[in-house]
Amino acid sequence: MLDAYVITILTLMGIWSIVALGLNVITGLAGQFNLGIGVYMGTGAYATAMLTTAAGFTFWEALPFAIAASALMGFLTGLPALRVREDSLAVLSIGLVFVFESLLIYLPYFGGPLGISRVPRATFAGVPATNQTYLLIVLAAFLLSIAVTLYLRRSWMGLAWESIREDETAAHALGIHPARYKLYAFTIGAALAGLGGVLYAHFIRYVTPYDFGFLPSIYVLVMVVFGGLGTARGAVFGACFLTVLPELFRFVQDYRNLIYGVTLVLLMLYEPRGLLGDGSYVWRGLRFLGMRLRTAVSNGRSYVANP
Amino acid sequence: MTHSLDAAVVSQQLVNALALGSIYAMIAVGLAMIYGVLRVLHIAHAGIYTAGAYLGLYFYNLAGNLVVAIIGAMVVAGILGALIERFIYRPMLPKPRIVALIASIGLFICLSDLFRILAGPHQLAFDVPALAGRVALGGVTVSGVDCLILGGTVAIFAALWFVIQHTSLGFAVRAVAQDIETAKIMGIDVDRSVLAVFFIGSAIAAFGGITVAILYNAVYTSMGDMIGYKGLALIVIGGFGSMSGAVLAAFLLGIAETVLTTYADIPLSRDGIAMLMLVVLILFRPQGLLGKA
Repeated sequence: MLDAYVITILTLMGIWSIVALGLNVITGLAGQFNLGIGVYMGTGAYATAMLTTAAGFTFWEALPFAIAASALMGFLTGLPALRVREDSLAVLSIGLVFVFESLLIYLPYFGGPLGISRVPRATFAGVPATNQTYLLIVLAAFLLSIAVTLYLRRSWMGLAWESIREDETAAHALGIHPARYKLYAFTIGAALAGLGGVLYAHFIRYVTPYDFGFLPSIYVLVMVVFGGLGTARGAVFGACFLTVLPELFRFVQDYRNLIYGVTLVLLMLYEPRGLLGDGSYVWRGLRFLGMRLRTAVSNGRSYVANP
Repeated sequence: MTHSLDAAVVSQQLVNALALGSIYAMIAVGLAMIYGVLRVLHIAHAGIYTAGAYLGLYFYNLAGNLVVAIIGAMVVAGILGALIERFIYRPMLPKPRIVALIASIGLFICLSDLFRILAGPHQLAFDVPALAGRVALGGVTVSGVDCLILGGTVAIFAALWFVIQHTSLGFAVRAVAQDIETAKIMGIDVDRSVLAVFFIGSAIAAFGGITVAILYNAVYTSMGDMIGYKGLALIVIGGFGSMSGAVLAAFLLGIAETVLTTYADIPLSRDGIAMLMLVVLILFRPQGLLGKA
């Protein structure tokens, strides 16, 4: 039995990890700059909020539709990535997140600036889920997202993404169709972020346009970069650490943007690969320790020739 | 909505559009210059703009003289911009492009929180009684603030044009913008040119920040956010790094925004409309207004 407060924190950590994993697919794996992950998270959250409040769907019935809506949004907003690259794409994603927020506020269907409230609780085995069972649902979704990300990274698609990220022209020359793989990345990443949005909507139980604007998108980017862009462990570590940090230290809550900002600048100056990214100081140290430990446990008889 | 199309309204709209375009141009030109030399999307430029407004207010309260306040704020903001270049962007130049972009985002969110901590979360008034009157200019009455904005823009851009086209510094800056490595080989002091670009760009942004603060009689922490994002979009539309393209795009945006928010019934906020236009333009002319296909 966990304390209700701890459950809340753990659930939020799980939700932000899923969203961060989504951004990691787009920006980390495929290398497409995106400063507007809130668009996809918001699409998922608003889709499930509208389906469950206005159309009478249950959580489980709305879930596939909401994820499909986010994936579609990812596909549509991925189309511009075929025409513009790098900095233009980053600016474009900033523009999109503001257009999205503005549409949610001004179009009459989305509840205006107040958003949609009274999003029902998720149900589990026919009864409304308590916070504890909801944590289990989030955990399951989290594990699924991890599995998907790790599988994709090792798959043919992951290799294609890596080659596009490193050198698009060379990848194209080798017969990898950049447009197709970019669209895959946007669709899959958006679907993951949308899953996070759905879980967020049914946990907080109301959604407003401001929850998915530019600043929340930047927070997710901070999480991914903090942990290590392009790695699942980095995205998860960043999301968990930056979710729990303001809870542990009150002053972090008060000076959140200042601390996030200074952290980002220092990290980019001294450890641009992120704390746990491939080749970063901490990660190399951890690997070295792991190898030493293995050698020690196996009493010196290591299969690794020279750790 | 019905609007009479009489001459007074139209000319007033024209003044508004030009003033808005001038403000966009002042932030976009710095962003374009900086992108031109370093290929960095300087998101923190919005923070410099806000810093300019705060510094202007501080110096105005200290000295009681607007000219002193404007010059003081421009110099301090320019130094701030130069420090950012020296200690944040310069070490990042050899690293991948996303590193500087993310550092810039970090700097930006840290700056706006810094203003909140130093000056408080509340909106401050920037009241300049000397500019409260209206000036009659051939049948059109223009408010004193609009005069400051339009006059300042003309003066600043004339000076900037002269510096870029007719001084050795401007020559060096143009060379660096064309090819930083070759410029270095040719004996141009690249570091000094880049520092100068940051100083000039930041000072111009600070002037924009002060005039907007006087125009709306308000200084607040997030005043630069929206205009900064629009500025970034403007340099994309102007054709990356092209100063004249960015300025042209800025004035077009000022006119389009004024016309569309007054005469069209689009269910979006003013900034939403502007962003939508910018997104559509980037999509259909990714090479920029003046760029070649």
